[in-house]
Amino acid sequence: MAEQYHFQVNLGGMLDILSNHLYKSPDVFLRELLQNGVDAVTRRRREQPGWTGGRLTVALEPGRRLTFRDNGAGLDEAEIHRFLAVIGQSSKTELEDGRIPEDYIGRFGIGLLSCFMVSDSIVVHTRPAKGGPGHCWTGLPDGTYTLEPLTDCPAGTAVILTARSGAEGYFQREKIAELVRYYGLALPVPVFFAGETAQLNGVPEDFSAVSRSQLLAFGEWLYGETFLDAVPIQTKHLSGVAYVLPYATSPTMKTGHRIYLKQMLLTEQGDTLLPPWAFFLRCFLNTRGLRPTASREDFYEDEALFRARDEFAAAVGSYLTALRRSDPDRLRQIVDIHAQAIKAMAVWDDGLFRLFIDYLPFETSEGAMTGAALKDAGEAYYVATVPKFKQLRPIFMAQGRLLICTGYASDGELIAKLAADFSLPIEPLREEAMEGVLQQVTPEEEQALSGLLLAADDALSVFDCRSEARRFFPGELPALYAMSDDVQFLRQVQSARDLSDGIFSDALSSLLDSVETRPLATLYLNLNSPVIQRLSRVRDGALLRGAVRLLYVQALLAGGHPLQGEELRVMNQELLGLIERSAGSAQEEGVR
Amino acid sequence: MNDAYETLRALRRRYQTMDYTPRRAAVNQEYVALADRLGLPRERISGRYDLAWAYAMGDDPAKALPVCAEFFALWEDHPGAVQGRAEGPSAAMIACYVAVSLPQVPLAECEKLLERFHQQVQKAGVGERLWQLHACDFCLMTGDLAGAQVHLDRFRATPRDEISDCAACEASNAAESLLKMGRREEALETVRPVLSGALVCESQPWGVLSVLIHDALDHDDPARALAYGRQLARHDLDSPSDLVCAGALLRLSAFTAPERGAALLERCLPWSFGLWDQDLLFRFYLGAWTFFARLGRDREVLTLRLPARFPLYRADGRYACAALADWFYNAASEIAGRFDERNGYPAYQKALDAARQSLDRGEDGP
Repeated sequence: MAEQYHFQVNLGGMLDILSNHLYKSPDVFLRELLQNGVDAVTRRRREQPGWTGGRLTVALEPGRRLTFRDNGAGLDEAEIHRFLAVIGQSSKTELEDGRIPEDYIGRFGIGLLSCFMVSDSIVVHTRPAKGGPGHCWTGLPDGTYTLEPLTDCPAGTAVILTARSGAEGYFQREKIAELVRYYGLALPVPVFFAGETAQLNGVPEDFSAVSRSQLLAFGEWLYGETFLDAVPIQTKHLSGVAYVLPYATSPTMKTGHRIYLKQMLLTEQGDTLLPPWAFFLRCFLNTRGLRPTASREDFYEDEALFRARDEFAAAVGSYLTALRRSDPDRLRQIVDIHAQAIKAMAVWDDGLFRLFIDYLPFETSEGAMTGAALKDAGEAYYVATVPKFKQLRPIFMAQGRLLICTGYASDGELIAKLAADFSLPIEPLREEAMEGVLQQVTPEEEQALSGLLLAADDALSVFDCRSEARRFFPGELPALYAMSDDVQFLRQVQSARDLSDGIFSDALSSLLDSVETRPLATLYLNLNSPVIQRLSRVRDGALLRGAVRLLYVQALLAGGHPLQGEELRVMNQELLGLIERSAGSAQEEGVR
Repeated sequence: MNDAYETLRALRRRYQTMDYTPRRAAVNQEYVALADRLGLPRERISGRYDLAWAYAMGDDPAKALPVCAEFFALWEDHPGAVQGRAEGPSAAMIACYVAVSLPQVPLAECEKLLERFHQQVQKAGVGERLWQLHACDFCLMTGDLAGAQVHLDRFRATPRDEISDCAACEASNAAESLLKMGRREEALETVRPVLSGALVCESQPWGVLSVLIHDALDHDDPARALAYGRQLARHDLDSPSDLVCAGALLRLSAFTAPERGAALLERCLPWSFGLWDQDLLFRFYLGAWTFFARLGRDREVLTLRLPARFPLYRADGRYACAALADWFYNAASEIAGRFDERNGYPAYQKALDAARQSLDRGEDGP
């Protein structure tokens, strides 16, 4: 049988890892002290049913020394050797069938070492509450520790830290008060400065029973902001408040939540726990039944987390639903400010869609219109890109037709759903519809343009595009490109074929070759445009060809269509040609 | 720039939570376009992988073919950008599955895509079971029953792995193959856990119920077809890939609920416009043809709200059942001809003939 060996652990190196890599800031030493203190009190409550006297105190010699005391279970000598001297061993990891009890916060058994980030030694005075002698344990960063008996020691544990050079700031009253409130505001055990009666922490356990004005006042005290509204959250996994920000935010903005796990601050980031649309909220939440990561700075993504996220969404949804009846003006105010976030919510949830769609604004050729206005607007089309919308908006305005822009996040899904759910004549703008949107030219005008159209068809055939003459506004827009779904698909097939080789190239070629009559895109030339009017009088075939090809590329770009290889080449070639031609003309002028 | 990355992440989170519908494909397309603009190899490749699935599962599957081609081309340029071992075989599987549904792609090229799929399976060390079932189906498509049996046996002998179809899809696909081999009892036994609800997924039992409805009607068993139809009616049809289910329900509803069939046609017909996947179209057209042919025995004209893009569109909405039946039959027949010519085996014509015989048997409704 193979011989077994043990890894040699360099404690100094471990401490470096903990302080420089695992934890983001030395601040966490206080979080770990709070956590150990609360767990010790919890353990004593379990061991001595009926005992309710748990409290934590902090005694300070400013800038020099800190004594953090709990009156919890304390440790006996065997437990000291076992739990204070072995990294990774926690006093909480062997309880209840190998599972950590719900009311214990810690689990990894490495938290105490974080104190070395601010102190050159860790001195622990401890005596078991169940009876037995007290001890003084002194640990040093080099990995050594001493243990001595201690006669005058109350039940519980005191951790005594001495400020390291450069860490004196952590041993100040204001800093300690700030850190206790930051990490331990929601803790179920009161925290005091030694000899004082003012509690440093403490919030309600059930926020659903607190009035709106109290919640808003609490939010103002906690965050220093006057919020628009406060949504109480009380579910199986969550308890707290979601505050509605009084200004518009973007999904990228870090909103500074306070998210606690079993009353101990875990994170300010809501990315893991909260739905992506929650960026318009600032949350103060205590969580239960969720698992932290090793660094205790985020949650594990597991089934319980997903359930908690759903509970949060349902709680916010229910609140807003009720608000529609109780205070529609406030709901309207919230929607006005946070339309983007609410649209994202409405996409996720049918109930919220029905609730909000009437209030939500959409960009249209007639300005911003709400869902309610669109329900009464009659026939409308929508386009999925902002450039395309900007290109077509003046045309639709001139015709008195309605065009909706769905190029913004969630708008496409909401408009399609609005049309489907309420049977509205709102459709995506297809190439066929353009025929009705653009004004026909007279046969005489068509005849006058025939030279230009012939030259254009010839120049554009390589791009599977044909030309048509129309009139539309504004006159500054010389050409408009429109393609059907078929053309779009074939453009993608062609592009993919150009990118691939071997079997894929062959299969895609077969697909392209099988199309007997290639569907053509259309370049609409605008007879209202002075450029087109002038081009209709040009007889120079080369100039016409170059100009039309440039108009084609320009219309593609204006419509937000990506250029393919041949189109890029043509753009460069024709632009250079025009420059040469212009330079030549200028030179001739100069000679004359 | 950070906003763009955040938008990219949000788009991915969004489409990953959506059902497979054209809306999911649209969000996924937006993700790919943004990843392209940002020039991020990993996201460009993974976005295309997801998009190929989105097209195959909830839109026009044919659109997945160029996407798969781009996926492999980009992967070749950035070999380190694909970390998992499932992506290669899965993307090759989608490409192969799509190509066989496009009669425009010659059989030799379909075979090469099947080979490429197998190469990807061997390279990744996963997907053999999945490949064997596809190979079985490929043989059936060309009328090679012996070859199909070999692959079916190998499929059964190969253990499941991480990219095997789910158990519900496996049972359903195997049952469909067995039906094509004429082994109905064995097929019904294979699919029993799916029909009983013991095995279900997003695609099943809906897909196999559609197949079983046609099979039951073809074999003069209307009661069984009706039972399957009742189950299938619970499925919410919401994407072009549901045209298979729509076809089966249409065929059945001529006997049971013509009004519901008419409403179903009005709802699903727009999905067929511009659809490239010919197999989906064939199955839908076959159902629509039998619906109107059967209905035409009882009534001459039906009022329908069909879109103006439909070639027989009438502004007054009054359509002659016989004209509609002819149109759908001709459309189905044309597709059948192209498939059968490509495959060298008249499987599609046989499906049309079986449906015709069922119609000719007369009052054979449930």
